[in-house]
Amino acid sequence: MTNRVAFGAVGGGAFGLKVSKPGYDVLDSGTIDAKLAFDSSWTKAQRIYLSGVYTATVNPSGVYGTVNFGATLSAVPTVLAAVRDSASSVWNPLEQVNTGWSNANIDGQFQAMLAYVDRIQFFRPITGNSRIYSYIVLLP
Amino acid sequence: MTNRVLLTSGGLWVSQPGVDVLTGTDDQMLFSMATECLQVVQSGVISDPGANSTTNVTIPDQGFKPFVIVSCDKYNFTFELTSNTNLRLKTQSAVSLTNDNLAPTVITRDGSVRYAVLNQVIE
Repeated sequence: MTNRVAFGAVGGGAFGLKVSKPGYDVLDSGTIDAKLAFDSSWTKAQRIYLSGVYTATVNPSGVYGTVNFGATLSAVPTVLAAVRDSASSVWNPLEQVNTGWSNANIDGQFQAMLAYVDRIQFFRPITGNSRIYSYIVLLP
Repeated sequence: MTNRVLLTSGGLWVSQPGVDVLTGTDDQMLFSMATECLQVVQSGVISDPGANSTTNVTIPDQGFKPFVIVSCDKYNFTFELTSNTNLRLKTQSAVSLTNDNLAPTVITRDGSVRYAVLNQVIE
């Protein structure tokens, strides 16, 4: 069975707690931050509810695609997200999307992503290539 | 006194202050092995690189291309993970600010680029 929880002396006279992600031995000296679910040496931490990638295919009607949480959270969560053209490896923050593929003519505004307590929605391009959204939903 | 920490052969839970770890829901946990914690593995500030410039930043090798948060008040920009250990930031033209309701004003904007590399895969 994999060791996943370790607490005790961590060196330098300090004590701490580490928890590894499933499948990783917390006692393995090669276990880096990315393989830890928690480390008390972290100065700050935020729990992740959901993360993933959503491919928004072209729809000329100006509609949103939906990622359902399958549950209702206690509040609208903070969502980190970036988007790229499916034909490019370059990412854009959602605040700086190219409005050429949007419906920015609606009140002069354009929202690439909408967040709710039970889902997030990503705008589907009205023209051009599909868009790849990468997102991280944080627990409220 | 409220029970706050539960350690069993099945895992570890730490509840939020005021919540009994034995009866609280997962949403009320400060830590649970059922969910991951977001961690910033590297962050920094790049002094105003100017418009239309490219800056490469070496980042820790996590075995994947990580999610990165980038912000800049002055320029439009993009970012690219050219490898697991290289973050490429490209500034474009300065953001155009207009306001129809106010007399023209000079707004001094910070051109520095701030970034944070997370412990989550971007794709």
